[in-house]
Amino acid sequence: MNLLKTFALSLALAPLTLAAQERYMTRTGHVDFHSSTPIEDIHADNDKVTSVWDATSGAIEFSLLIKAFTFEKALMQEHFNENYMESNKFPKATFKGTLKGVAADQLAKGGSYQVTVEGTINIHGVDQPIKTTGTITVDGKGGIRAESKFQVKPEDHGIKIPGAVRKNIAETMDLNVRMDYTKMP
Amino acid sequence: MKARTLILIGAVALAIGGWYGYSEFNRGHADLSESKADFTLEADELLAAFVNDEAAANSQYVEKVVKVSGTIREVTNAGGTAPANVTLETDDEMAGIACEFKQGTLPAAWKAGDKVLVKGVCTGYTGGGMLPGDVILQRCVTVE
Repeated sequence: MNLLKTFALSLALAPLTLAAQERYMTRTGHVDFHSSTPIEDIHADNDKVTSVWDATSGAIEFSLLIKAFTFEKALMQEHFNENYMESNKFPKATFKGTLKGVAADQLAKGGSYQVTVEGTINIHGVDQPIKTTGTITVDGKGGIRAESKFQVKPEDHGIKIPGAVRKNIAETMDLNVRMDYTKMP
Repeated sequence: MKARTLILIGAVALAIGGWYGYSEFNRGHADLSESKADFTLEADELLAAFVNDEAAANSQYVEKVVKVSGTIREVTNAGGTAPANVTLETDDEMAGIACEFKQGTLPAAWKAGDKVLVKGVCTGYTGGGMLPGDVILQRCVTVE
Protein backbone atom coordinates (compact mmCIF):
# COMPACT_ATOMS: atom_id res chain seq x y z
CA MET A 1 0.00 0.00 0.00
CA ASN A 2 2.77 2.39 1.01
CA LEU A 3 4.76 1.40 -2.01
CA LEU A 4 1.79 2.09 -4.23
CA LYS A 5 1.34 5.49 -2.65
CA THR A 6 4.99 6.38 -3.21
CA PHE A 7 4.70 5.24 -6.79
CA ALA A 8 1.59 7.34 -7.41
CA LEU A 9 3.19 10.34 -5.75
CA SER A 10 6.35 10.10 -7.80
CA LEU A 11 4.27 9.82 -10.97
CA ALA A 12 2.35 12.92 -10.00
CA LEU A 13 5.56 14.80 -9.24
CA ALA A 14 7.48 13.63 -12.30
CA PRO A 15 6.54 16.55 -14.58
CA LEU A 16 7.53 18.96 -11.81
CA THR A 17 11.03 17.51 -11.38
CA LEU A 18 11.55 17.43 -15.12
CA ALA A 19 10.56 21.06 -15.48
CA ALA A 20 12.90 22.01 -12.63
CA GLN A 21 15.97 20.55 -14.33
CA GLU A 22 18.20 23.55 -14.94
CA ARG A 23 21.42 22.30 -16.40
CA TYR A 24 24.17 24.44 -17.84
CA MET A 25 27.29 23.47 -19.70
CA THR A 26 30.38 24.66 -21.52
CA ARG A 27 33.05 22.88 -23.51
CA THR A 28 35.26 25.89 -24.06
CA GLY A 29 35.77 26.86 -20.43
CA HIS A 30 39.00 28.53 -19.36
CA VAL A 31 41.45 27.48 -16.66
CA ASP A 32 44.89 29.00 -16.29
CA PHE A 33 47.62 28.56 -13.74
CA HIS A 34 50.45 30.77 -12.75
CA SER A 35 53.59 30.16 -10.77
CA SER A 36 55.69 33.12 -9.80
CA THR A 37 59.16 33.07 -8.25
CA PRO A 38 62.04 35.56 -8.41
CA ILE A 39 63.75 33.19 -10.89
CA GLU A 40 60.94 32.66 -13.38
CA ASP A 41 57.25 33.02 -14.11
CA ILE A 42 55.36 30.06 -15.46
CA HIS A 43 51.96 30.48 -17.05
CA ALA A 44 49.70 28.21 -19.08
CA ASP A 45 46.17 28.48 -20.45
CA ASN A 46 43.58 25.84 -21.20
CA ASP A 47 40.51 26.95 -23.19
CA LYS A 48 39.05 23.51 -23.75
CA VAL A 49 37.56 22.79 -20.34
CA THR A 50 34.26 20.94 -20.27
CA SER A 51 31.87 21.49 -17.37
CA VAL A 52 28.28 20.72 -16.44
CA TRP A 53 26.43 22.47 -13.63
CA ASP A 54 23.01 21.41 -12.44
CA ALA A 55 21.64 24.60 -10.91
CA THR A 56 18.74 22.72 -9.31
CA SER A 57 20.81 20.29 -7.27
CA GLY A 58 24.01 22.36 -7.22
CA ALA A 59 26.07 19.46 -8.60
CA ILE A 60 29.00 20.69 -10.68
CA GLU A 61 31.70 18.85 -12.64
CA PHE A 62 34.78 19.80 -14.62
CA SER A 63 37.11 17.87 -16.84
CA LEU A 64 40.18 19.06 -18.71
CA LEU A 65 43.08 17.59 -20.62
CA ILE A 66 46.51 18.25 -19.14
CA LYS A 67 47.98 18.26 -22.65
CA ALA A 68 45.58 21.04 -23.65
CA PHE A 69 47.46 23.53 -21.41
CA THR A 70 49.31 25.88 -23.74
CA PHE A 71 52.59 27.48 -22.71
CA GLU A 72 54.35 30.17 -24.67
CA LYS A 73 57.52 28.09 -24.71
CA ALA A 74 57.29 24.64 -26.27
CA LEU A 75 60.07 23.21 -24.09
CA MET A 76 58.28 24.28 -20.90
CA GLN A 77 55.12 22.58 -22.15
CA GLU A 78 57.05 19.36 -22.86
CA HIS A 79 58.67 19.37 -19.41
CA PHE A 80 55.33 20.08 -17.74
CA ASN A 81 53.73 17.07 -19.45
CA GLU A 82 56.62 14.62 -19.29
CA ASN A 83 58.45 15.38 -16.05
CA TYR A 84 55.78 16.77 -13.74
CA MET A 85 52.24 15.88 -14.76
CA GLU A 86 53.07 12.55 -16.46
CA SER A 87 50.16 13.29 -18.74
CA ASN A 88 50.48 10.05 -20.71
CA LYS A 89 49.61 8.23 -17.49
CA PHE A 90 47.20 10.85 -16.11
CA PRO A 91 45.69 12.62 -19.15
CA LYS A 92 42.90 14.46 -17.31
CA ALA A 93 42.28 16.60 -14.26
CA THR A 94 38.74 16.55 -12.90
CA PHE A 95 36.59 18.19 -10.24
CA LYS A 96 33.32 16.95 -8.83
CA GLY A 97 31.40 18.82 -6.18
CA THR A 98 28.59 21.13 -5.19
CA LEU A 99 28.02 24.81 -5.79
CA LYS A 100 26.00 26.75 -3.19
CA GLY A 101 24.82 30.34 -3.00
CA VAL A 102 22.55 30.76 -5.99
CA ALA A 103 19.15 29.22 -6.69
CA ALA A 104 18.06 28.07 -10.13
CA ASP A 105 15.23 30.62 -10.31
CA GLN A 106 17.64 33.52 -9.70
CA LEU A 107 19.41 32.75 -12.98
CA ALA A 108 16.51 34.08 -15.04
CA LYS A 109 17.32 37.70 -14.15
CA GLY A 110 20.57 39.64 -14.14
CA GLY A 111 22.78 39.81 -11.08
CA SER A 112 25.97 38.77 -9.40
CA TYR A 113 26.11 36.08 -6.73
CA GLN A 114 28.85 35.05 -4.32
CA VAL A 115 29.01 31.28 -4.21
CA THR A 116 30.98 28.53 -2.51
CA VAL A 117 32.19 25.42 -4.25
CA GLU A 118 33.18 22.31 -2.39
CA GLY A 119 34.25 18.92 -3.66
CA THR A 120 37.10 16.73 -4.81
CA ILE A 121 39.77 17.73 -7.26
CA ASN A 122 41.80 15.07 -9.03
CA ILE A 123 45.16 16.06 -10.47
CA HIS A 124 47.95 13.62 -11.41
CA GLY A 125 45.67 10.78 -10.31
CA VAL A 126 45.48 12.05 -6.71
CA ASP A 127 42.20 13.18 -5.09
CA GLN A 128 42.16 16.12 -2.69
CA PRO A 129 39.19 17.78 -1.00
CA ILE A 130 38.86 21.44 -1.91
CA LYS A 131 36.68 24.35 -0.85
CA THR A 132 36.73 27.72 -2.52
CA THR A 133 34.59 30.75 -3.31
CA GLY A 134 33.51 32.19 -6.62
CA THR A 135 31.17 34.51 -8.44
CA ILE A 136 28.28 33.76 -10.74
CA THR A 137 27.36 36.66 -13.01
CA VAL A 138 24.09 36.57 -14.91
CA ASP A 139 23.66 39.09 -17.71
CA GLY A 140 19.92 38.43 -18.11
CA LYS A 141 20.31 37.48 -21.78
CA GLY A 142 21.08 33.85 -21.10
CA GLY A 143 24.79 34.42 -20.47
CA ILE A 144 26.07 32.97 -17.21
CA ARG A 145 29.68 33.38 -16.19
CA ALA A 146 31.22 31.50 -13.27
CA GLU A 147 34.60 32.62 -11.96
CA SER A 148 36.84 31.40 -9.20
CA LYS A 149 40.42 31.66 -8.02
CA PHE A 150 42.12 29.14 -5.80
CA GLN A 151 45.47 27.57 -5.10
CA VAL A 152 46.87 24.09 -5.55
CA LYS A 153 50.09 22.65 -4.14
CA PRO A 154 51.83 20.28 -6.59
CA GLU A 155 53.14 18.16 -3.69
CA ASP A 156 49.56 17.52 -2.46
CA HIS A 157 48.96 15.66 -5.70
CA GLY A 158 52.13 13.59 -5.66
CA ILE A 159 53.88 15.79 -8.23
CA LYS A 160 57.61 15.59 -7.56
CA ILE A 161 59.71 18.66 -8.21
CA PRO A 162 63.46 17.99 -8.29
CA GLY A 163 65.58 19.99 -5.82
CA ALA A 164 67.56 21.61 -8.65
CA VAL A 165 64.49 23.48 -9.94
CA ARG A 166 62.53 23.76 -6.68
CA LYS A 167 63.30 27.47 -6.45
CA ASN A 168 62.03 28.04 -10.03
CA ILE A 169 58.56 26.73 -9.23
CA ALA A 170 56.23 28.26 -6.65
CA GLU A 171 55.07 26.20 -3.65
CA THR A 172 51.49 26.94 -4.62
CA MET A 173 50.04 27.43 -8.09
CA ASP A 174 47.43 30.16 -8.58
CA LEU A 175 44.52 28.87 -10.60
CA ASN A 176 41.90 30.95 -12.39
CA VAL A 177 38.66 29.43 -13.58
CA ARG A 178 36.25 31.16 -15.95
CA MET A 179 33.25 29.32 -17.42
CA ASP A 180 30.71 30.84 -19.79
CA TYR A 181 27.78 28.49 -19.40
CA THR A 182 24.88 28.02 -21.76
CA LYS A 183 21.66 26.26 -20.85
CA MET A 184 21.38 22.64 -21.87
CA PRO A 185 18.34 21.73 -23.93
CA MET B 1 100.07 26.51 -30.16
CA LYS B 2 98.35 23.31 -29.08
CA ALA B 3 96.87 24.99 -26.01
CA ARG B 4 95.63 27.85 -28.13
CA THR B 5 93.87 25.44 -30.53
CA LEU B 6 92.26 23.67 -27.61
CA ILE B 7 91.01 26.93 -26.13
CA LEU B 8 89.63 27.95 -29.51
CA ILE B 9 87.80 24.61 -29.94
CA GLY B 10 86.51 24.91 -26.39
CA ALA B 11 85.23 28.44 -27.00
CA VAL B 12 83.48 27.44 -30.21
CA ALA B 13 81.89 24.39 -28.53
CA LEU B 14 80.73 26.58 -25.66
CA ALA B 15 79.24 29.13 -28.03
CA ILE B 16 77.41 26.46 -30.02
CA GLY B 17 76.18 24.81 -26.81
CA GLY B 18 75.08 28.14 -25.41
CA TRP B 19 73.31 29.11 -28.59
CA TYR B 20 71.59 25.72 -28.76
CA GLY B 21 70.51 25.89 -25.12
CA TYR B 22 69.23 29.43 -25.49
CA SER B 23 67.25 28.75 -28.67
CA GLU B 24 65.90 25.48 -27.26
CA PHE B 25 64.76 27.28 -24.08
CA ASN B 26 62.95 29.92 -26.12
CA ARG B 27 61.63 27.60 -28.80
CA GLY B 28 58.01 28.32 -29.73
CA HIS B 29 55.48 25.84 -31.05
CA ALA B 30 56.04 24.55 -34.57
CA ASP B 31 53.74 25.99 -37.24
CA LEU B 32 51.70 23.10 -38.56
CA SER B 33 51.14 24.59 -42.04
CA GLU B 34 54.25 22.85 -43.27
CA SER B 35 53.82 19.67 -41.21
CA LYS B 36 52.80 16.45 -42.85
CA ALA B 37 49.70 14.90 -41.26
CA ASP B 38 50.27 11.60 -39.45
CA PHE B 39 46.61 10.67 -39.90
CA THR B 40 43.85 11.82 -42.24
CA LEU B 41 40.28 10.97 -41.30
CA GLU B 42 36.71 12.15 -40.97
CA ALA B 43 35.29 13.83 -37.87
CA ASP B 44 33.04 10.84 -37.08
CA GLU B 45 35.89 8.34 -37.35
CA LEU B 46 38.08 10.32 -34.97
CA LEU B 47 35.34 10.66 -32.35
CA ALA B 48 34.42 6.98 -32.66
CA ALA B 49 38.03 5.99 -32.00
CA PHE B 50 37.98 7.86 -28.65
CA VAL B 51 34.49 6.77 -27.62
CA ASN B 52 35.17 3.10 -28.36
CA ASP B 53 38.57 2.83 -26.68
CA GLU B 54 39.94 6.02 -25.20
CA ALA B 55 43.26 4.49 -24.06
CA ALA B 56 43.98 3.05 -27.50
CA ALA B 57 42.99 6.30 -29.22
CA ASN B 58 45.19 8.27 -26.81
CA SER B 59 48.25 6.26 -27.79
CA GLN B 60 47.39 6.37 -31.48
CA TYR B 61 46.39 10.01 -32.00
CA VAL B 62 47.50 12.18 -29.08
CA GLU B 63 50.44 14.47 -29.90
CA LYS B 64 50.10 13.51 -33.55
CA VAL B 65 49.25 15.85 -36.42
CA VAL B 66 45.75 14.89 -37.50
CA LYS B 67 43.95 16.14 -40.60
CA VAL B 68 40.17 16.03 -40.20
CA SER B 69 37.39 16.68 -42.69
CA GLY B 70 33.93 17.61 -41.50
CA THR B 71 31.07 20.08 -41.39
CA ILE B 72 31.17 23.05 -39.04
CA ARG B 73 28.63 22.81 -36.20
CA GLU B 74 29.58 26.13 -34.65
CA VAL B 75 32.25 28.81 -34.58
CA THR B 76 32.82 30.37 -31.17
CA ASN B 77 34.95 33.20 -29.87
CA ALA B 78 36.06 34.25 -33.34
CA GLY B 79 36.98 37.72 -32.12
CA GLY B 80 37.71 37.28 -28.43
CA THR B 81 40.96 37.19 -26.51
CA ALA B 82 40.96 33.42 -25.94
CA PRO B 83 41.67 31.18 -28.95
CA ALA B 84 38.93 30.84 -31.57
CA ASN B 85 37.10 27.54 -31.69
CA VAL B 86 35.50 25.61 -34.51
CA THR B 87 33.47 22.54 -33.62
CA LEU B 88 32.92 19.91 -36.31
CA GLU B 89 29.74 17.85 -36.52
CA THR B 90 29.61 14.19 -35.56
CA ASP B 91 26.75 11.67 -35.37
CA ASP B 92 26.55 12.39 -31.63
CA GLU B 93 24.98 15.80 -31.02
CA MET B 94 26.61 15.96 -27.57
CA ALA B 95 30.13 15.39 -28.90
CA GLY B 96 32.23 16.94 -31.63
CA ILE B 97 35.75 17.70 -32.79
CA ALA B 98 36.82 20.99 -31.19
CA CYS B 99 39.49 22.74 -33.24
CA GLU B 100 41.43 25.52 -31.53
CA PHE B 101 42.78 28.31 -33.76
CA LYS B 102 45.10 31.11 -32.74
CA GLN B 103 43.18 34.42 -32.89
CA GLY B 104 43.43 35.94 -36.35
CA THR B 105 44.14 32.70 -38.21
CA LEU B 106 40.57 31.54 -38.65
CA PRO B 107 39.06 32.37 -42.08
CA ALA B 108 36.43 35.07 -41.49
CA ALA B 109 33.99 33.42 -43.91
CA TRP B 110 33.76 30.14 -41.99
CA LYS B 111 30.27 29.47 -40.67
CA ALA B 112 28.08 26.63 -39.49
CA GLY B 113 27.28 24.18 -42.29
CA ASP B 114 30.53 24.72 -44.25
CA LYS B 115 32.54 21.65 -45.20
CA VAL B 116 36.13 22.16 -44.10
CA LEU B 117 39.49 20.45 -43.77
CA VAL B 118 41.51 21.20 -40.63
CA LYS B 119 44.94 20.10 -39.47
CA GLY B 120 45.92 20.21 -35.81
CA VAL B 121 47.66 18.43 -32.96
CA CYS B 122 45.31 16.07 -31.15
CA THR B 123 45.43 16.40 -27.36
CA GLY B 124 42.70 13.91 -26.40
CA TYR B 125 39.02 13.58 -25.50
CA THR B 126 37.52 15.68 -22.70
CA GLY B 127 34.39 13.61 -22.07
CA GLY B 128 33.93 10.81 -19.60
CA GLY B 129 31.55 9.72 -16.85
CA MET B 130 28.57 12.07 -16.81
CA LEU B 131 30.33 14.71 -18.89
CA PRO B 132 29.83 15.11 -22.60
CA GLY B 133 33.03 15.99 -24.39
CA ASP B 134 34.93 16.74 -27.56
CA VAL B 135 38.04 15.42 -29.23
CA ILE B 136 40.44 18.34 -29.07
CA LEU B 137 42.70 19.54 -31.88
CA GLN B 138 45.04 22.45 -31.09
CA ARG B 139 47.32 24.81 -33.02
CA CYS B 140 44.95 24.26 -35.93
CA VAL B 141 45.54 25.47 -39.47
CA THR B 142 43.26 25.36 -42.48
CA VAL B 143 44.05 22.99 -45.33
CA GLU B 144 43.33 24.05 -48.91
